[in-house]
Amino acid sequence: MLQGFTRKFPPLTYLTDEEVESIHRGALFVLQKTGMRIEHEGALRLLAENGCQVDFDLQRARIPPHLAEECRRKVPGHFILRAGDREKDLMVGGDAVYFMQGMGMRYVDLDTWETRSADSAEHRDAMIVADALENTHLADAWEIYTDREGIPPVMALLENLASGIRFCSKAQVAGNIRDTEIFAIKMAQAVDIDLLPEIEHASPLTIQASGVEAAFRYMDADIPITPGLGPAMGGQGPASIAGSVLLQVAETMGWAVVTRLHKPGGPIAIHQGAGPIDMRTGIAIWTGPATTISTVMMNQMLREYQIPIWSNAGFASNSKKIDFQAGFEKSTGTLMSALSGGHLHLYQGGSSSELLYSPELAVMEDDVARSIGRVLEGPDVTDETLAIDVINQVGPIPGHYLGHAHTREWWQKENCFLQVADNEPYSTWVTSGKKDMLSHAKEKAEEILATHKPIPLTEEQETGIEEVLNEAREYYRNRGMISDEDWADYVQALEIMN
Amino acid sequence: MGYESSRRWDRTPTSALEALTVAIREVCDAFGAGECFLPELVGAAEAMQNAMPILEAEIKERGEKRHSAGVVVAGTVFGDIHNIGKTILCTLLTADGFEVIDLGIDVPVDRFVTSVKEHQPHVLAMSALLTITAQEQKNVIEALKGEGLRDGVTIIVGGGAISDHFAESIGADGYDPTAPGGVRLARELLQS
Repeated sequence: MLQGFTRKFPPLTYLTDEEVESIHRGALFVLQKTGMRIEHEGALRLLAENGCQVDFDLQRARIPPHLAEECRRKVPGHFILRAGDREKDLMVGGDAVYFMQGMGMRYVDLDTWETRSADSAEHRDAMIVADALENTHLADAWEIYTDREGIPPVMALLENLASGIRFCSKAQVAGNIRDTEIFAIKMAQAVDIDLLPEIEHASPLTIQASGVEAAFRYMDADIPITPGLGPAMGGQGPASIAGSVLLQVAETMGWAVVTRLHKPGGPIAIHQGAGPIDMRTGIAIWTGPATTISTVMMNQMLREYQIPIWSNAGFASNSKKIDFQAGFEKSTGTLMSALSGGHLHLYQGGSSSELLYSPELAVMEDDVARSIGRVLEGPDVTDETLAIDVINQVGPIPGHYLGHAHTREWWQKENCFLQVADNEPYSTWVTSGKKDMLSHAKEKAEEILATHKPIPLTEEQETGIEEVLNEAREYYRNRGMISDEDWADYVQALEIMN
Repeated sequence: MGYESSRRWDRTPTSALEALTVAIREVCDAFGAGECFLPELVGAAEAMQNAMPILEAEIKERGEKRHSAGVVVAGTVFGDIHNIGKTILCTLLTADGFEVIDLGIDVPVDRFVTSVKEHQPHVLAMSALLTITAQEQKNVIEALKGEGLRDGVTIIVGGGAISDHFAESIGADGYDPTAPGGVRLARELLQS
């Protein structure tokens, strides 16, 4: 059975056909006139061989419209992401809508709201909770708690991925800082799953050597990639929403060209989500009306191109707490993206400008995801649901529907029952301790940790993961990227972990 | 436009520079008071940055000396491609009278070290948005120690993943979460 939700009505759109064409034509013009800076010799050679005007000194490739058009058409509209548990495989594309575990660098104390490094047990617990949440379809072990106690930063991402694979049987996000992709690929191969790596991209109009290298490595291993666009509007992109969309469309086609020339059939999703800079402070605002409008427009453009979409419209509020601001900003952005055709939504559990991750927030936002999914599925309009005969049978008051067979048949199907939302009568709420949604979420997370058992890896898979980690540890030690002092702390942390 | 334009206004290059400095400080004050915003501030600072080479050349030709608040080398550390915060800091430092050498983003340790050797800055400013890359700031500080350069430069750090505690733990001299605060910090540390 396919995971996730299906949007059963046409996606919300802003743009007229003429506006879509203006953005598309403008992006082609930028690619030809200004081009992109691509800091990778091999990619530049490929571009030159295929008709681009390349300045190797400036690392600039000007891309002709015909090549950009041809390449973006070749991007597959769908791809499969294989999970550890094959029942949880995803088919990305079309009208499918998925929600992803959010990202956040540090653990947050729910009493003081201060953040700190997370230990291995906290990462494990976060992944077990994500494994249990029904509406979290793609896991992001890679990007939660990147600040790990006792673990050298260069190993944190890989230790995170290993923890994710061990304790969550869903498909996993990955990435590409400092050659980590080499070991992420090996880990995925050791357990025979797919990853969805976010590849670094530097707006405006720049792809770094490490990004190209990682993209090619993942593609060579038949792993889909997702270039991470998302300019800060007014800084890395134009302050106007349409301009920021046009820039991202140009960058999308730039990536389509680079990746098609390397491997024509290799699947990609575009990770998009421009947000404005608050020019009073310099802080980027990643959720809010401008981001949402930009997201809806980008979703429309990418659907026009039939390129799968990763949306960031609700990934992080700037609120430092799990509060009303975080709730409304994240949920409205995610809802609007889902309504307008986004496929993958970075969402459950992350907030505070990427600084915090909370399993309790993930539990609450899993309810939001369930609600959005229900809205996407829309109404069922048939003779039976129109209930004309039932309405005629019941008639006016004192008639009612409570005891009717139609009610027994439909009340559960039509509703959406949430796990931790408070729908108790007032008196029950008072007598049961006046709990709010966060209190319920804490209890739910505790219950999951006490009862949920992730599918264990086989011995062979476990050995494979550990071998890859050992290889990575040696690789980074030999390159001086783990100091002796850090290594001593790391060994101690590993002993505690085991 | 060259220096001839200011010559027409009967200004010496030093007084033209002073006038620009006064103007930019007014813009900075207005930014601090919420009366203007980053685009105005950065636009004004870029105007000053464009004027500087012209005025500096003329000052040098006349054998005069320019007053500088100090030399700063700045960059986003290796593995990190986040640009905006560092760029705002560089702009504000320039506006505040510092001479800034901006090394850009994804700057490896050895480039920081080479640049400190070459420019002998008063301040080294490093940015890192991610917890994964924040450790690079420590690596740079250790490398500077190894080269015997650490004591000759004041080191300030910033970025989304940085805290006071972290800055202290890696041996930086100071941390501020905002670019305007970073400028104040640089000034205070140089005066102390």
